[in-house]
This record gives sequence, C-alpha cells and structure tokens, in this order.
Amino acid sequence: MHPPWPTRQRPRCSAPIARRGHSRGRGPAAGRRAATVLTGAFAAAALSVALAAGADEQPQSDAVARGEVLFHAGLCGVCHTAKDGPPLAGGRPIETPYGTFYTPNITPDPGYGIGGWSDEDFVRALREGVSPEGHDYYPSFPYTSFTKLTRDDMLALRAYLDSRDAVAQPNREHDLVWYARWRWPLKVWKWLYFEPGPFQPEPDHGKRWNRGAYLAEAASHCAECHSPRGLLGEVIADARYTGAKEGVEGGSTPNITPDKTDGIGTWNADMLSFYLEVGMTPDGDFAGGIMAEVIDQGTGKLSADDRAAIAEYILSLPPKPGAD
Amino acid sequence: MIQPNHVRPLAAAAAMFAMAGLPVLSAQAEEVPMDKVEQAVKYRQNVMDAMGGLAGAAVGKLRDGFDFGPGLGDIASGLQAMAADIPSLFPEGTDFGETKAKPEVWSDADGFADKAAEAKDATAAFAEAVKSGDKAAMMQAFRDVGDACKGCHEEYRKKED
Repeated sequence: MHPPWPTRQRPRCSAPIARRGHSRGRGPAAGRRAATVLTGAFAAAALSVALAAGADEQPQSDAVARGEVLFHAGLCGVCHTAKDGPPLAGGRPIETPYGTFYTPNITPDPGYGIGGWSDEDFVRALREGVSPEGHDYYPSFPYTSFTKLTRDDMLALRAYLDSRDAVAQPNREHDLVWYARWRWPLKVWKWLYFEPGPFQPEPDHGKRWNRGAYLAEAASHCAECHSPRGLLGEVIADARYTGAKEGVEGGSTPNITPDKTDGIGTWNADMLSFYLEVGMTPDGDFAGGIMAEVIDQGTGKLSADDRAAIAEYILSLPPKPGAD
Repeated sequence: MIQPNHVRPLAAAAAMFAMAGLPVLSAQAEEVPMDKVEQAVKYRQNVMDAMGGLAGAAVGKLRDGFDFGPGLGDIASGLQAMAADIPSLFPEGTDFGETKAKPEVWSDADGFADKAAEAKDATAAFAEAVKSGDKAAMMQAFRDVGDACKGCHEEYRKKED
C-alpha cells in the first residue's frame, strides 16, 4: 500500500517502466499465439521465425483479431500516438483544466513501452487503474471505462498490442498544476468515483443492445468526452452523455443523448451508424477535430454490426437537455 | 468626365496585384471592407452549408436510393462548384466575429490551400464517378469527398460550441 501522504511523487506513469523481476519481453505473447496453431518441435522452430520476422507477418490468431477490433473500438491509437509520431509510442498532449497529460508509450518495447509487463500488470492497469509499480493512474487514462472490459478481451487487446512494432521512445512527464501533481488524492478520487469491475449484460435488452452498451461503455468510452465533469474531474453521473463545455483539447463536445433539441434525438440508428462510419451528420456536415480521428481510426474500422449496435445503445439513452 | 482622384491609384494597385500575384489572389482574396465583414462570414457559412446540404442530399440518392428530387449528377456538379475555390471564401480580415475558422486558415495559408485543393479534386472526381454510373466508384468517390471535408475541418475549424 501507499503511504496516505504526499511523498513528493512526480507523475510516474511518464517514467520509463523499469524492468522488473518477471519482465519477459515479447516472448510469451508470441508463444501463446504460436502455440494455438502449432505443436511440438515445429512450434519451437516457428516461434523463432515468428520472433525474427516483423510483427505484421505473423499469422493472426483469434485473440489478435479480436484484440484488433477492441483496439479500434477503444480508440487506443488516437490518444497514444503523437501528431506525426510513431504509432502507439505516446506523447500526445491531453489538455485538461489540471494541466497537460502526455500519453505514454504502449508499444511492446520492453524498456519504454509495455513489453515488460505481465498479463496481470496489463489487466490491473485497465481494471483498477494501477500501474505495475502500484501507483494510481490519473483518470485522463479512462480506466473508469476500460474496467468494464472482460478479462478475455483485455488479454486479446494485449495480444494485439504485442503484435505492433516496438518503439524505443521515452515517455514525457505530465505538465500539471501544482495541486494535481500529487498522486495520493487519486486514492480518494477512486474511492468516490470509481467502481472497478466488468460490464454486466442487461437481460432486459437484446443481444445487439448489450453489444452496443459494452462497446460504448467499456471500449469506446464515449461518455468520457461527451459528459460534463465536476470540480474533481469526475463525470457528473446525472448528466452523462449531455456533452461538455470543456470537452477535449479546449473544445466542447455535443450532447449525444436522443434529446430532440439539444441532443441527437432527430437522428435514427441508421443515420448514427453512417455518421460513425464516414463522419457525416444527417445535415451533411462532416466531423472535425478529435471526432474525425475517432471515426477514421476507430468506429469507421468496426464492422457494420458493431456500429449498428453502438447506435442502438446510444439512441436508447434517456434524452436529456444540454449540459450546464 | 470627372474622375475622383483616388480611383486611379486604386485601379493601378489592383492591376499590379493582378499581374504580380494571380495565384495569391485565388488563394487569399483581398480584404473585405469593415462594414462587410459579418456579411462575408455569413456568406462563407452559407456556401459551406450549401456544400453540406448537397453532400447530405447525395447520401439520400446514393445510399438510401431515393429516385425523387434532383438528379445525383446535378447534386454532384453543385458540390463541385461550391468547392471549386474554397480559399477565396476566407479573405483577409474575416478572421473574427462569429466565425469557426481557426487563425491557422490565414497563418498557415499554404497548408489550408492544400486541404482546399483536396476538396476541389475530390468533388471533381465524385462528379466524374457519377457520370460513369458505377455505383461502387461513386460510393468510394463520395467517401473521398468526406475525407477531404474532415481533413480540413480537423485542422482549420474550431470545435463545436
């Protein structure tokens, strides 16, 4: 456990991950993938080939393919890639009222990325918002949503990330206002506003609705940007999905509840699916800003079924008037 | 015939400007008089909205298959006309007031002109694809139009408010 008092901690998730006792680099994930398709001595030979070959040439196992869907749905690449930077090597600034967070490297690099993490480390980061060293993450990393992923899906996502190119790029320290530099208040914050645990399907709703709810709530974390936040940076539960005046990157985000005047209540599911596919609103306007990235790198790459599921779920939210 | 004194120097300046800077002219039109700035912003927004309306109408034809209303060819050539010279809609001095245009439209005029050229080319290609009658080509060309719109909005338009 952490001491409950400030210990002059600087934001630590931006420090390179030190190699720890059970760090094992890329071996285990590649081994798992290979073992599912191959056996015996052949596996050993293929494993060394797979390790030598570029990640993209490896045969994709089911887990990697499923992980790729979650990767797109989870929009990981949007935040963890800097403008014109190498994919997933981090460094994108996330501007907030508490200062600027710089996203970390999530490539499989063992020194600077997450290649040295065990599966348990990865699951704990997403489920509990705790780093392998045991510090609490700032909720700028939306573990508040990712906690709802199933363990299987977390591991699939890990398998996909492991299949990406490693980039030896050090992380950049966050640049925060003084009172946000302490990490110990995060314990209190989590106690107040964070409920860890996987998504529980709602039996009253159909399969597609539940798939949409899972994707929107656990993976795509729509509410993280499309909700107003309170004084402590928490999503205001009653106003979830009603948009935010101070959304992301200094811009506001719109109300996406099906309210007829303030939200998207005049859209039907087909219109919303099409928006998530190509970025065009029913008015013929095209998304800009970070939503254009969300569509290009995320929802636009999902299957039509998954987009339809997200649309069904979002349009089933209770309609609410605009934020503030 | 009496000519006001200030007309000649102005005409001379305009002629010089035209000779020296033809490409500049199309990329960044001359300043709008102070009492017309708001109208110029509104005019620009109306042209942009017209573009959006045409894009939305194209989807009704293309994706939803409505055969009533205007023809897709007319919609596509309308789009092409609206997008023919986007930078000319952003004259110097129309960078304040009710505009959603970011300062980068003017400070990074070359980058903006590149994005605008993408929209021009994409709408032209869409009009061509519509003439060809090939449904898949039309859909792809329309997506390219969308990508051009998004690409420019991403960098040069302020977020919703």
